[in-house]
Amino acid sequence: MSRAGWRVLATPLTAIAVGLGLGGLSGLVVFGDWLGLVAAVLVATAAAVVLVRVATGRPFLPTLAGLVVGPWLLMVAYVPGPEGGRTWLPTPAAWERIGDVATEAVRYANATIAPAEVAPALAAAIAAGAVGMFLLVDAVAVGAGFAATSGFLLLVPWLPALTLERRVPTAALAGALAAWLAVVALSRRHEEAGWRRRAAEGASPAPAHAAAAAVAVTVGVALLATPLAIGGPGWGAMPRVTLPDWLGGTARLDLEIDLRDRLTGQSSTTLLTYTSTVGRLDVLRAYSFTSFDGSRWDRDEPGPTEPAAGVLWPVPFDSWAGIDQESVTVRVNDLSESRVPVPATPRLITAGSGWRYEPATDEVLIDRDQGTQGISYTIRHALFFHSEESLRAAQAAIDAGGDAAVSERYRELSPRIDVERVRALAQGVTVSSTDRYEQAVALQEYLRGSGFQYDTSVSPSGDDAVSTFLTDRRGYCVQFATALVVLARALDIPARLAVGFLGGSPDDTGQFAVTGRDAHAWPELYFPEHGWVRFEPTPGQQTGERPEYAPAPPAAIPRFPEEEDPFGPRASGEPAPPVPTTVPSEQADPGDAASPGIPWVLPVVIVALLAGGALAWSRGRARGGGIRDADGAWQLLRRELGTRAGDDSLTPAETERKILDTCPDLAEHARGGLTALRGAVEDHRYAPHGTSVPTERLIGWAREVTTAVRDADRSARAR
Amino acid sequence: MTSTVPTSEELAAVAELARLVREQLRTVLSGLDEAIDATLATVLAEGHLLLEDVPGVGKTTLARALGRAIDVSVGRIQFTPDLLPSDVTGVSVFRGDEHRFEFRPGPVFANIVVADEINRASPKTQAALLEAMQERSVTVDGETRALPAPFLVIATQNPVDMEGTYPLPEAQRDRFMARIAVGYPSGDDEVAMLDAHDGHDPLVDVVPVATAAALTRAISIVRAVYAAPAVKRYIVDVMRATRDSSDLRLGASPRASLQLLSAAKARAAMAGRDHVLPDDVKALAVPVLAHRVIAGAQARAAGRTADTIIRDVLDAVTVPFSREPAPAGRG
Repeated sequence: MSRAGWRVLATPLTAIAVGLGLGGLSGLVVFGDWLGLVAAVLVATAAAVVLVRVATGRPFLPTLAGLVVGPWLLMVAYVPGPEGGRTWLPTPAAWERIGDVATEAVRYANATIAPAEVAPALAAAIAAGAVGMFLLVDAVAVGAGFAATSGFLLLVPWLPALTLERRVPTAALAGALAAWLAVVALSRRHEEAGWRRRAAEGASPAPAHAAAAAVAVTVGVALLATPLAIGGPGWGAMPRVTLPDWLGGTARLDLEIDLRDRLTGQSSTTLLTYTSTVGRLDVLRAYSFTSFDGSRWDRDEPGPTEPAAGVLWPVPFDSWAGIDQESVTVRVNDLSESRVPVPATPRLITAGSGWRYEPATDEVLIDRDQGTQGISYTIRHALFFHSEESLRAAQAAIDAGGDAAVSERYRELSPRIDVERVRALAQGVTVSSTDRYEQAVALQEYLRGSGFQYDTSVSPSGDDAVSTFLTDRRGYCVQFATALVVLARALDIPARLAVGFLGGSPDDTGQFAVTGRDAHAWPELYFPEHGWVRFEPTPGQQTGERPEYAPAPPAAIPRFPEEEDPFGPRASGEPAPPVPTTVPSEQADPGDAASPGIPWVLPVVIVALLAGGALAWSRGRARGGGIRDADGAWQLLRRELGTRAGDDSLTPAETERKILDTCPDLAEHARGGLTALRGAVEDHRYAPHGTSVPTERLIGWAREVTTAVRDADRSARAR
Repeated sequence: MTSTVPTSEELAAVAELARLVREQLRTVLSGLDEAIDATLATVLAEGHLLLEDVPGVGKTTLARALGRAIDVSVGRIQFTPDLLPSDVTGVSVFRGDEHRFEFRPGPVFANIVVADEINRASPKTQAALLEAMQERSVTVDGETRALPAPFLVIATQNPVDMEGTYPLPEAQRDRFMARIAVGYPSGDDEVAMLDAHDGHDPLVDVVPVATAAALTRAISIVRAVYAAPAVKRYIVDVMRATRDSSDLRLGASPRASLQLLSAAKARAAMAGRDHVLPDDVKALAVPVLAHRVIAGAQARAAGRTADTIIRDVLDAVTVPFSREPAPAGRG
């Protein structure tokens, strides 16, 4: 194979490895037709790189060509033209549209939940990532000759799946691995071909510090940068990292609910499983919280309880037989709670005895040392219990003073909270709402949009954590739920916090498995004659869908204007964000105008990665990582010939004699090469002025001798 | 002269001298190339030589042939128990006619001194010669007289017939740059030797092929041969290994390092090289080191000699791998 030959073969293999790397996204996005266009762009870019490789012998010129062709192809494929056609030239107007697509991609990724349907903008982002990854890997593996090292880069698309313990298509992983190994094998076979002509000979094993640097960078990316990066904006589709259940044993919900704590210790252990006749439950409810001091929630003192018999629901209820029901059988594994997780609608426990029910908190108590651990129970619960109509109808009872049925404490706001601003916000958000239902939906939608970001880490806060959250707009379910409770209470709506689990995900057997990462908190608002109604203000990953009775409002309903938001950027004295000259159609709503912005973590990670790699590489070169002189060529020869080249106590001349002794049939030209190489290495090591023979020729001699010795061995065996 | 490495012409001169002398020695001693080369290297390094072997293998012949091949003054001393120091160094005699003492130089005042059976003389006489070897001068009646340059002592001794001998102590053996065991010739070589000796003394056929001046010049060229740091480190590594070896009761001295390097330089110049190779060091390690070290009791009981132990040491020491920055190197 010619010199160009292996590279022409290695570049498509690299493209295959990168393309199969999309399989690493299988847990995050839904595969569909969009893959075809991504593949086409990748293949076309690879073809351009190959063509330039064939045409020129330069190692990095193809990469430069790819840097031109790839982005152009992306633009043509994904950036719509002014009148719906394609964009062929990067005019200033086209740049704006490119920016729009990028912004839309980030916004979309942020707003979706894994596995996300792929909108064109997200497909464009994925295609751009694939093309960029291909060009980088190709430059490293084929251009620079660091074929093995490029494996670290190829690992990147698989990292989310690895760190999140997601399943990936085995065939894709195996295929990518095979393609990469093929590239490595090709480059090893033609080491003298790359740009790293001398260093690629790699005579001495990689220095320990280089290996350590590579490992450190990889581990650093895997353990530190990836969680950091996917904690940033623009990663809504990405499941959050969960930590293993280090302590083992049974799990418990964290009832020390403090808005100032970041979310940690979510376990992927299955806590309970259930079978359901109609599908996934919205939530499984365990605890409720009433008192909020501005940053912490406190449990109530236990109230009066009754045996958990009959239909359990805090408000009088008489038409149980007339509504849709389903039966759920729950099996609890390692979850030791004093409250039994139950659906959040009226329910009838058909198996399980000795349990008690507390109507005030709507909790089912189990009096057992191990709590819920290991129990099984079956529950019938009401389906479609709440509806928009029935909740709207409750307004009459509210107007009639129906809230008096519940404690005044559900409307209390701690003096630590900036009540005036919160109330101004709540009233502003609900200014066009005509009843409690609309108020609740408006508050829910305000928190699901308006630039609020799901984030397991939270900003440092004082006693008024809700104001901090409403300003910073970063938090997890507890912050979102608490904010809605506080906003509702500011409107004099009885509200409280409920804690339990989301419905989990189905496993292979059709059961639903609820893990530690399904732990959830949500707000409940009181509707007279209905009871406590769940709303879902938490956007992003860690959330249930909006309840079916509180869907996203049609876009016609005006959202709360950003500039009137007492916690908004303008109110807090910061300059208003620049108004985009062209507003993408999805962003027509002013309430959604605060775009998530560029994920800053990404460039930082990339820069750190490149800097670390460059540092390790330069240090490796500085300390002689590869073949740079006659010694390197000599060591290469000795390593290739193994024991027949003798040990370290032999001088070059003795080694030469030993090789000739053990290989009497060595071809004449190889003998000449061996003698010349020996002389050069002697001169290099011991003569006052070293050797003037070019390293390439020395390596050539070493290869010549190695090949000739093997040929002689083969013919000797043949005889 | 010594600040730069020898030119190729200078090296060619040394190599030519060595080649001519070697040819002359071969006419009297067949099949002893290794001994001859070690001898020449020692001579060119201006070192003293101890030829040690059983009688009759050609020790004295080699010494005498060397003296003849190089056109220099040769002194010959047959050591006997009654030999006095003044028989070696010379003596002052009173010249009545001139009313003064006149110094009569002993046989030591020669370019090459052949000291036959040195271990038969009394320690006092041995000491006189050994002092001359070390100082390259002789002090008689309070007057120090320089010995001619070059000055080489080629001593022979018989290690077997030990009765009535005074073996050289270690400190004095250390003054010899090399000890060469001449060894028996092979069958063919012995036949060739019988042919050569058939009817006449082959020593007669040895003709001078080099002058004292040429030898002096060759010696100064040899001194200028370049030794890379890697080679020096190799020598030091070998020395350390002998000192650390559990088989040796006494390892090699620092003087041995110096002399090994000098001899290696000579061997390099003989090959026309301007730099020393570890091969030079290896080739001369046994002649230069074996007579200075003392094998331990266990090693002796196991039938191992200083020679084999030194060879084992060489097989264990790593030849320095990388080129180190040298002052005169290419940087």
